[in-house]
Amino acid sequence: MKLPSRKKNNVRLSMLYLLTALFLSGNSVQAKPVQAGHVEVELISENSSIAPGEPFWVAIRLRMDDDWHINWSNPGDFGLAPTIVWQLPAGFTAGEIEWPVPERLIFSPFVGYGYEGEKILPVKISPPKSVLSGSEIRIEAAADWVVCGEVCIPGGAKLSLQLNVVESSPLPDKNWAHFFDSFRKAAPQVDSSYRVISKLTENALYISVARNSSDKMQIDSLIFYPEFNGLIKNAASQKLSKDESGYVLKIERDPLGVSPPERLKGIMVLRKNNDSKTIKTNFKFDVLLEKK
Amino acid sequence: MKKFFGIAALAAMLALVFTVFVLSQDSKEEKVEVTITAKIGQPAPNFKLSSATGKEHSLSDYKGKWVVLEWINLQCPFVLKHYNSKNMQTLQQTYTKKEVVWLSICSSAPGKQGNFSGEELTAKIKEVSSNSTAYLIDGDGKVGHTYGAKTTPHMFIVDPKGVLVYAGAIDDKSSTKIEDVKGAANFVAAALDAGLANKEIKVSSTVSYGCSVKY
Repeated sequence: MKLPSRKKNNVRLSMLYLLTALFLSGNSVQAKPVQAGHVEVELISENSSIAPGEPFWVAIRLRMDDDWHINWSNPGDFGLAPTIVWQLPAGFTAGEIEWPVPERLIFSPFVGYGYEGEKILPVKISPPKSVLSGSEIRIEAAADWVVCGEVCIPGGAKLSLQLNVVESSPLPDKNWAHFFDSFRKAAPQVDSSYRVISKLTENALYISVARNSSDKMQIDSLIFYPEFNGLIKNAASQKLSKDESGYVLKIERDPLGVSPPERLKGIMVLRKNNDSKTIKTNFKFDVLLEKK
Repeated sequence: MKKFFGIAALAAMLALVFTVFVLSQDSKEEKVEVTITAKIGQPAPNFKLSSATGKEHSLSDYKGKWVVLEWINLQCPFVLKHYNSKNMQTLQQTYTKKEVVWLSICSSAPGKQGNFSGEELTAKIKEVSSNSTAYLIDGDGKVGHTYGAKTTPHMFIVDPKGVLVYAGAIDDKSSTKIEDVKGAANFVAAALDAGLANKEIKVSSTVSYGCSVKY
């Protein structure tokens, strides 16, 4: 854009105002990420504004350095799940962390469950209907974590976020909405098309997985992520075999294991190799744990 | 006859198809298979290790006494939570006064976090004012593997008959925060109190929390 030179000073001045305004609003709407040890942490929101009485999603975004991870709700053999303590305006409530599907992190002879790279831990916030349009609200989260690689380092940060309350439908925040979209696409869901049966013997856990419909189940790998720590030996190889109706996973029990839970809860991750592509799906389940 | 062979062949083929075959989903990741021989309610595996002061200690030396095995790594934040809060030293003092033998065992391999030797080790133990009976060095990790020690801390209790009666966490607050020591239910204290009073140990196995043992 070419500007007449005589207006230069005015333009400069207005640019300064604009920049100041941008700087101020930028600062108030979005707190900067915190760098702590081997992880960058930030509180983000899916939408740039909220509406009275309409639940919305925020998340702790974590970006770990290479070879460092944070843990799932069940950390596995070592480490600790991150925690968030919320400080919200009156009448607001926060849900639990919606954990993404973890990965098995091999630190032979141990296995941890967690996340590497960049991840978000989403939480649903429900505002009251009484919150005033046109006002600005402040959300604070005290996040604590332990980031582990070869060694573990505890960390924590006080994070905050300010959001405007509007009457109309809130608009997605272009910076972050796609994080929430990708989370939802891969988030563990209950899938009634699978039938899961679990049996516990003295030494092993058996999980049968089959289709409820007559559809043939065809997979190349199946990995079980237990919600309960101490039932299986996390580092044991999960042995997959095929039977008439589907597949069976056999996993060695933790030799120093604690009393088994009533129900077996967790996530199954299914992989199927299609030509050069691997299709990864998952489902969440909660079934009676039969004891033999 | 022909029909019979046909059916037999079909059956054989079907059997082949339905034979349960183990799919190869294991990658090289999980080669290290460790044999854990320690089991709750069973005799605790014996061992012989050298202490920081060069003295040899065998578990069998302590038959007739209660023995606590504490897996330690003085650079692990979970361990430091219990040492910086004096929780561990207090427990060590309380129970060694009651004739309990308290052995801190370090299974950190040479070069790994928490592996100290010589003067550096002596200084470290002094720095934390440990009140344990001995600090034992398990540099090759054999004793740790035998017990299935996963984390630091990881606590084990052996009764006077030499039976393993507790394995697991030190308490029920898995965190690295010193302020969480207060108000936590200490499983080791509970088990020792019950055991010393000839009462049943109610919680004999819990999931330990901490850093991984640096084998």
